[in-house]
Amino acid sequence: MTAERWRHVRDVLYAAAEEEPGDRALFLRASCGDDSELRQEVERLLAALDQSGSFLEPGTPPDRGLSGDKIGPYLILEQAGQGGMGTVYRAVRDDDYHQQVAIKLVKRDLETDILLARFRQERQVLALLNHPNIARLLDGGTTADGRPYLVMEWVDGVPITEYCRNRNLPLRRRLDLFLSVCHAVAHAHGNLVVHRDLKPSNILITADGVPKLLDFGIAKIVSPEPCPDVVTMTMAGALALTPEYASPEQVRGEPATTATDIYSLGAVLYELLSAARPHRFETRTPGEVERVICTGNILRPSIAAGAGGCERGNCAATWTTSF
Amino acid sequence: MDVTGLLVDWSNGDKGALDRLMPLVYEELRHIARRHLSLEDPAHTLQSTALVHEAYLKLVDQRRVQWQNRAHFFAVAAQLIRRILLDHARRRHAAKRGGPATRLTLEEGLVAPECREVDVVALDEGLNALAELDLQQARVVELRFFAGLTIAEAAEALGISSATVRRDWVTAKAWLFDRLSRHSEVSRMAG
Repeated sequence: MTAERWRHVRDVLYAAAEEEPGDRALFLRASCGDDSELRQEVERLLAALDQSGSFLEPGTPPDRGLSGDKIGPYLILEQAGQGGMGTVYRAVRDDDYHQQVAIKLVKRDLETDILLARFRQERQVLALLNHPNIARLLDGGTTADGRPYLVMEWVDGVPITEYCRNRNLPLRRRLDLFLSVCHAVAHAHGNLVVHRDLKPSNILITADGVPKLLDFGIAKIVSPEPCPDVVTMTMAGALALTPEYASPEQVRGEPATTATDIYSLGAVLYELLSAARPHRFETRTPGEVERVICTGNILRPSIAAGAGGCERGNCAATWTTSF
Repeated sequence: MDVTGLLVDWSNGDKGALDRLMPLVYEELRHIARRHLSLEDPAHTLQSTALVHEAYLKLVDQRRVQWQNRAHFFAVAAQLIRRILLDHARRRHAAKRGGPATRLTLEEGLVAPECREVDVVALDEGLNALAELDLQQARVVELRFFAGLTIAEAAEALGISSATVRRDWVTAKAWLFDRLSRHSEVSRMAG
């Protein structure tokens, strides 16, 4: 197609798209005349437009101009991340510049009333989670425009998988770290709090080598049932399922229990040992994800790790080949 | 001079300011992208608008700029982040020895509309082809998709009317969707 031809096609296409769907055929007959090629071209593009849905559409615009702004008594320092539930900021209390916090500001389109009610309910429970390896929920409230936010302890760390990989930690040290994580999860379970979304990006290791679990109980507040916020950032600006650590009951849409966390911990351990993930997905459609997680075969970590790598107590070789 | 100053100068018509601005923004974007890209591999997908926004918060003193300056910053960043993501996708392709690295999931009903991914390499080729037909339309898509600009902001960044941006956007989207879905059908049949 030439640029000139495209301009013509484009103008007819745009005018047709502005018409009511029922009037388009008539409009096209009138504007395309004998040029049946033009009409077919426009019809095909109209069909594409109808199917395109949110294709390439920018997602919910990110929160703007918040750096230097305040949320409640907290002064925003920078945006630290963006996920399914909203935006995370690094901030300080305005009367205590030394204590950094992470503020999760909930997206505009989430139902704030339900969220707030749930938050109040859970807050008591989460306050009981006083454990050195669990990032604390410190506070919460609503912004001037009515959006709920959660304030958590700020953790400066890297995901456990990345930490082990970067430092080439031997097997023994990996297991020690993992055990501390298990103790923290056991503490939460003892208080009847289920995480529901355990994955490496929620299990950070600080520069001092201390594991810190993020977002305990948050998944329940933000998306109670059936699916936890197994979300990550996507190109298109919205949510995508990251099913690598999700349990069978979760992908089937059943309630999460303490066993859900144990399953996810198992998936994380698998990765720490073998540098591979337990599941391989051909596609990320819900059907495929459910099939793989619920009925798929899992390669033994020792085999997944390749010839001997981790068994010799050093996983470095396998990390470099798998990534 | 800092990014904020360069940005304001460029918005005020100083063309030279752009040449000095680009490398600074590019460095920051690459830095942020690298950090995000290392977090969630290999299932990794990422939100380019969040990256651009993060760079903006970091580089630009917002007390000294107006919304027009913001649109101009994002216009620069959109081009740069497109390049960074393309480089990343290509490296990943290469690492997987030519296998289909990033999938384009357009089939209706298989995934929720917001759960789809876009093949960055195919999109880049599509945008290049579109630019041959109409450069401005390719720019509009770049601004909207890679930097998340609104119609009004894209209009400001390109110096054209909102009505034109809307026309360019709607028709470009149809054209790209048509092209990319036909290509993915072909590759499915071939595979």
